[in-house]
Formats: sequence, C-alpha cells, structure tokens
Amino acid sequence: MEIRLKHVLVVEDSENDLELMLDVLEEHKLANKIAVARDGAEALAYIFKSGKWKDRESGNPTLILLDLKLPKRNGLEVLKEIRGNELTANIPVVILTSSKEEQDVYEGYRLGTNAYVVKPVGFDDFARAVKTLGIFWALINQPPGNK
Amino acid sequence: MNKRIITNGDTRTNKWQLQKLTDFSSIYQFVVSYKLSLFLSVFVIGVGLLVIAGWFFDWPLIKSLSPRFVSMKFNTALCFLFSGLAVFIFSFSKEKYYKYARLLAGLASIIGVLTLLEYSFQVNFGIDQMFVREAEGAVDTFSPGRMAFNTAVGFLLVGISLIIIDLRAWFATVASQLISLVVTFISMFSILGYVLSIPELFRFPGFSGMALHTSVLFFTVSLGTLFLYPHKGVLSVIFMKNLGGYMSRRLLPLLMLIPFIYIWLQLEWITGGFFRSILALQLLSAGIICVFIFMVWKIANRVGKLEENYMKAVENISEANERFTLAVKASDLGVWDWDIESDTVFWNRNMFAFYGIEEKGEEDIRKIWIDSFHPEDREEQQALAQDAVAFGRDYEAEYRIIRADGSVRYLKNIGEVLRDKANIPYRITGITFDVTEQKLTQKKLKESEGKYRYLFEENPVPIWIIDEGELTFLEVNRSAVKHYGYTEDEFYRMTYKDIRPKEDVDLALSMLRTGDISKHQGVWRHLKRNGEIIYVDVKGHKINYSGKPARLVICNDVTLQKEAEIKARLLSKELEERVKERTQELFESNKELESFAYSVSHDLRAPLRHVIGFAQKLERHLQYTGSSSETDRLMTKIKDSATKLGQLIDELLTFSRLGRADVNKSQIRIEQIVHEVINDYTIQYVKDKVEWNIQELPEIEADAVLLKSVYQNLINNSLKFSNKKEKIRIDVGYEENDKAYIFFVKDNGAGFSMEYADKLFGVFQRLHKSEDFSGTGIGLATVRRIIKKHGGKTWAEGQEGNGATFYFSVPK
Repeated sequence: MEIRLKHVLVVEDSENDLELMLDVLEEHKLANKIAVARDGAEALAYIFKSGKWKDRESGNPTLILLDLKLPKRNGLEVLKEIRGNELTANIPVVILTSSKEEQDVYEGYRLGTNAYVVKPVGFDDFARAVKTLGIFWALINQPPGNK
Repeated sequence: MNKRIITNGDTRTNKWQLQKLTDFSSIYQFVVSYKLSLFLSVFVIGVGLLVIAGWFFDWPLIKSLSPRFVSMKFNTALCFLFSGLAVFIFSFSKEKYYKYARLLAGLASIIGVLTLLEYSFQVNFGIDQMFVREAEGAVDTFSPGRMAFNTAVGFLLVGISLIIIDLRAWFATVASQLISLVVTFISMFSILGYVLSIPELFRFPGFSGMALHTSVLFFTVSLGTLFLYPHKGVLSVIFMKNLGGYMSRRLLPLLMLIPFIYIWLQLEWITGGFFRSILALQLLSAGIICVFIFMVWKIANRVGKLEENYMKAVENISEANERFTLAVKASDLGVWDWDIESDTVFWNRNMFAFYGIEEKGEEDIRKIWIDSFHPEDREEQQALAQDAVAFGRDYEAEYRIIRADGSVRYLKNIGEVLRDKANIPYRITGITFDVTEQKLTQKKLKESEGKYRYLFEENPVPIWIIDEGELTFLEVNRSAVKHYGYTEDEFYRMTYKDIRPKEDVDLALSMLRTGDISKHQGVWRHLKRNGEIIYVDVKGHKINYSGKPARLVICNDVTLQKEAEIKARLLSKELEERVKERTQELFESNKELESFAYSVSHDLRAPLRHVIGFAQKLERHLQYTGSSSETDRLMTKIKDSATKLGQLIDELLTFSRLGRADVNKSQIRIEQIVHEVINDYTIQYVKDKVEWNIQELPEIEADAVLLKSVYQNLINNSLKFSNKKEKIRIDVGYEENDKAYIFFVKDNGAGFSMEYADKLFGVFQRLHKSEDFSGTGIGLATVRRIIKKHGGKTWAEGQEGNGATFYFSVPK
C-alpha cells in the first residue's frame, strides 16, 4: 500500500511523549516526512510558513497530530487558527491529548477537529492508538486534495 | 276643689281684653290706691291743727270763718285731729300701727259720747272748756265750748266706723262704710244748709249748730274713711272690676244727683222760681226720666256688647280648655294647681297616676304632695316652693318621690306663679313630668360612661382621640401621658404631626390626606417627649366625637418586638451573607478539589505513561543487547508498579468525582442494572464460569449511574475474590421492609473474618495481600460513599474461606 502520509506535523511539548510517538510512527513506517513543533507558536509558524519555518518546503501537512497542552499557544488556539485560514482549513487534524475533559472534547469538535484521541495511560495502549491512527489516516482515509 | 284650670295663652289675651273693658278710669284708680284717703286725712289734720292754733292764738276768722257762723269748737278740732290721724295711719302706714289709729278713733268717740251725755242729762263734765275758753253768748252755741249735738253724734259715728273698719268679720267693713255714709250725708246736708241758707239742715233744733268747716271736715273725714277699703264692703259695688262695677260707676253718680235736684226743686217752689208751675214740674220730671232712660239704654247696649265679648272669650277659653284637657289626657302630663290663698291643691288624673294613688275625691292632696317627697329631697323642695311664692320666681324642680308601694320615681315640675294687680302671688299652676325613665337611663348612661371612661382612662395601653380635620389631640388617657412623657395640656396643644419624628411627618401626612384608613394601621415611629423614638403599633378607628369626625387611636408600644425583629432580620441577613460566603468557599474549594483531582489524574498519567513506555523501550533494547532473567524480573516489576499506579489514579479520580457528584434519582429497575453490569464484562469466560443466581429485583428510586457503579464494584469484588474456586456462585437478591430495600451480593469466594468487618469499607483498606488478590481497596469505599449519598447503609457478613455477603440498603 502506498503510504499516503507524506507530510505529518506532530505538535507535542512533552519530550517523552514525543519520543514514544515518533518511535511508533517510524516503527510502522507510517509517514515520509515528520515535522515537529514543540509549542503552539512554533506550530503556527510552521503551518503558515513564517518565523523560523519560513524557508521550509511549501505545501500543507497531510496530517497534524495536535496536543492540547502546549506552551505559548495551546492546541485549541492553534486549531482555531488553522481552521480560520482558507488555505489551511482543510488540513486533517487529530487531537491527541491526555485530557479527557468534556469541555476540551466539545471545544475541539466545535473548532473543527477531525478526531479526538485521548492518550492512553498504559504505554501499550498508547502505542496501539498511535499506530491505529497512523494506519487509518495514512492508508484508509482519503486526504483532502490541494486546490 | 275641682275647679277647672285655665292655663293657656289664648285665655290670657282674653283676660286682658276683659280687663280693658271693665277697667276704670284714673280717678277711680286714684281712689282705689288709697291715695285719696291719704289726701283727705291730711286735709283734715291740717285744718284741725289750724283751728286749734286759732283757738290758742285767738284767730276769730279761723274759728268761725264768718262772724255770723258758729265756730268750730276746740274739742271738735281736737277730735278731727284724732280722726284725721287715724285715717292717715290706716291709709298710709303698716298694719302694726293700726292699733294707734283705733286708739285715736276711740278718743274721738269718747269725746263725742261725753258731749252727748252732757246734752242728754243736762250736765256739764267740764270737757268743753278744758283747754280753752269761749266767750259766753257765742253764736249758735248752747253752752260755751260745747260742740253741736250733731257734731257729737258725728264723732261718735266716725270713731266707731274707724274702729270697726279693720275687723275681720265680713260685715265690719260694710257697717263701717254705712256709718261713714250716714256721716257723709249729714255733713252734706249741713253744707247744703249753709249754701242754701237753711239753718235747719245744720242745726239740730235746740242745740248748737255745726260749723261750716266742721261740716266740710266731716264730709272729708267720712269720705276718707269710706275710701279706705274701696274694694270691700258696700263700696265694692262701685269699685268692682267687672260689668257690675262698670254699671254702678255709670248709674250711681246719676242717682246721687236726684236728691240735689229735689232740693233744688223745693227751693224753686219755695222761692217761686221758674219751676213753680206744675207744667214745669212735669216737664222736669219727664226730662229726668228721659235722661235716665237714655242712660239705661246706653249702658244696656254697652253691657250687652261687653257680655258678648265676654261670652266669646269664655267660649274661646272653654275651647282651649277642652283642647288642653285632651292634650293632657293624651300625653302623660300631670297638671296641678295650687291656690295659695286657700292653700288647696288640684291634681289632674295623671298626677294621681304618678303618685300611684287612686283618685277618690276626698284626699288632702297637699298633704300627699308633701309626704310623698323623698326624705332627702323634701326640705329642698319645700324651700323651693316657698321661694317661688315669696319672690315670685317661676318654679322649676326635679325631685324624687316614694310611692305608697315603696317605689321611687323621678318627677320634674314646672310651675308658673300668677299674680294679681298688686303683684301678690295668688296661685301657682304647673305641669309635672315623670322622668324616671330618662333619669334611670341617664344613670345607666353615666355608669356606662363611667365604665368606658374608666376603660379609656385606666387602660394600660396609650389611647387617644384626635380630631380628623385639625389633627389635634382631643383626649388622651393616662397611659399616653405616662408613656410619652407629655402632660395632658401639652398633648392638647400638639397635633398628630408633633408625635412623629420629623422624617416621618411627610409620609404620615400623605397617608392622612389620601384618607386611606387602612394605612392608619401598622407600625409607625413615634417621638417621646425626651426625644426617644419608639415603635408603635397603631390602630385607628373612625368615631364621632361630640359631632366632630375623629379617630380613636390605640398605640401599642412594640419597640422591643420591632428591635428584636430588626435584629433578627440583620442576623438573618448576616447569616445569609455568611451562608453565601461559605457556599462560595465550598464551591471554590470544590472547584479546587475538582481541578486538583483533574490535575492529579491528568498530570500523574503522563509520567506514568512515560515510565511504562520507556520501560518497554528498554525491554526491547535489552532484547537486542541481551537480557538476563534478573533484568526481566526487574522489568516486570517496573511495569507492574506503573500499571498499578495507573489503576490507583483512575480509581482515585472516580472516587473523588463520585464524592462531588449529585445524586440524580429516578425510577430505575435494579434487575436491569445488574444485567447490564454483568453483560458489560468483556471477560467472557469469567462470565460463563460463574453460576449467576439473580432474583427478581424491584424498581426503586435511585441514581442509575451510581447504582451501576455499586453493582460493578460488588460483583467485580465477588468475581475477583472467587477466582480461586472451581465453582463460582454469585447470588444477587434483596429484602424489603417498610422503611427500606436491602440488596445483597453473595459469593462463595475467599470470604473474610468478621473480626475485620468494619475495616472492609475503608479507603485503600485491604484484607489480603496484593499477591493473592489484586485490587486497590477503593471499591468498597466507593460503594459506601454512593450508598451513603442515597441515605442508606452498607455492611458485610462473611466467613474466612467460605464466601461473603455484602449488603446495602436504600431507604424508601
């Protein structure tokens, strides 16, 4: 099968979580290019090709894995910005967070997330979650095209 | 005694009319008022004194008036003096001096009698010349100084007449008047004799002649005596104030002329005058008769008219009387009449009724009247009556009587005093009311008034009456004075505005202006004299106070209650505030707790995840690099611990969330819940391994989610602790009493010793080692918490190695 996740942006501030996540993604070869943003501002800078990311390769990420608890700008703010901009509105976003709070879930969907996944406590589950997500988005889901 | 009374305005008028008709002219008035007698007596006294002086000083003209005439003797003059004085006393002075008059008259008589005796027995007592001497051979004198025979007779008569004039016997006055008349005629003839020169008229043959002035004085004194009591005796005919008197006054003078006419005729005949001829005589007679006829006709006419008027008046009177009698009969007026002169009393029928006496016609009413007075009132009443008579005050009185049957009545009398022309009261006539009813009512009213006045005055609550218009205080009771500190006078000078603190005045005024009486109730603030403000529960009622619209206001001092109220309200407000604060605190602390729990779970999970994740990574890494059993064992321990930690955190979070959760009660079917719980179990084989004994469970009111949690915990526990047994049997059932439902879950698992029964439900309490049975020890604590929220209890029974039963109750 063709790996469709050409370009993934992982927005995660926890070093540990990040490492584990990346391990999983690499283990199963789910993505070609994986970019990482460590906080909300960086994420936005990457998406909108500004700041330190202004010289990156153009083109929207095919998937954004978005944590909510981020320094500078939190996940929901980032999501709002993404969805607010016509150019980036279509990008598939999966919120991947430890928060099970109803409010966050509600807000997330309201702001237009495509999926909301709670990071499992147990590592096995966590790994599996990431893997499942990756397979789904990479192999099953039809990504939005570019205009 | 049974005279008909006339006390009516109509009759008064008529009486006047009658009086006018029969009143006599002023001459007669003059006579009647004794003044004539007075004058005459003075004249007599004067002349007498003059003659006496004449004898003493020898004035011949005085003594005789003319040398040809006989002189008035000294004794004569003296007697005239005496008799003149007597008449004077009778006419002018008081009754107590009358005896002197009689004495004087007696003296004159004695002198007369003595002189007569001298004449009769031809003796000389020496009285003729006692005081003065007369010359011998005086004109017409029988014996010097001796008065004429007829003079002596005259004095005898005059004296007697004066003595008896005053006596009480009815004929005394008449006799006196007749005697006086005799003297008058004698003296008149004597005067005529002098005028017509007929000596026989004034001289008794053989004796001394009566002097001219003697004659005149006799005439005068006799008239004076005559007119002393014109309304009595013979003279009364002339002086009557009625038709008879009217007639006699007009006819008698005419008749008096007749003798003089005849005398004149005789003279004419004797001297050969005009009327000598028979014809002239007849003409004269005819003329006289005509005059008389005319007079009679005129008088008759007049009298007739008078009588007509009189009869009309009488008719009116009688009519009025009838009306009055009817009115009196119809009403309950008592009418009485007291004739003062005869001291008799008349009563009409009602009076007898008032006094409770039967009218028999023979009673001494006056006696009854006096005896019936209430002993306490008698003196006063008698004095009042006497006053009325004496001073002519109109009589008005109220008094009590005691009837024969002993009952007491109140009577009211109004009487009028009737007076005669001389202003002497001769009758009191009046009416009587029985005012017993009114008096009793008045008494009762006074009593009741007294009672209510007492109620008002002595009432412990301040009460007052204010004028609705002026807002002034009309009445205040003692409590008001005491309580508010103002004196009565100060109150009466204040208005309702002054009793309020300044700030409240406007509100009070607007209330009164709108006239909304409902607003005159309720609690208001009032101002005491010392400036203290009190709260007063005011109740006002509209009343009519002596015709003025007013309000009766009752003021209950409720300051203490009001203050208590205010305090209570403040307290409650405070309390509310405090509660609000505390609730806020609680809310905040709850929120804190929530965020604490959240962060606990959330923030603890992440590192947990990392621990596990990296442990696994390490494990993988070790697989490449080579691991030992020791590292394996250590790895396992790490992973297990981490997993355990995760579980703990979850359960702790659930537990705390449960603690904060509200209980949403609804009708739930327990059976359904139990089945849900069992079916939820994903461990299929566990489910199948178990023998489920599920009773029919009821429908109760409880929180579905929480109850599910309860059963989850209990069943989970039972399964967990029974997994060592070959055959697991779990019973789920319930009992019911009138207070609650008691549910149980029973297993045949490991059980527990009752020794530790109370520890079971503690947080994190475990009775087994972790190697034997996994678990955090929070399950039962959760169950207890949930059931406690439902108001129920949890307990357990068990036997070590022989299963356990866990109970929980849910009250109805």
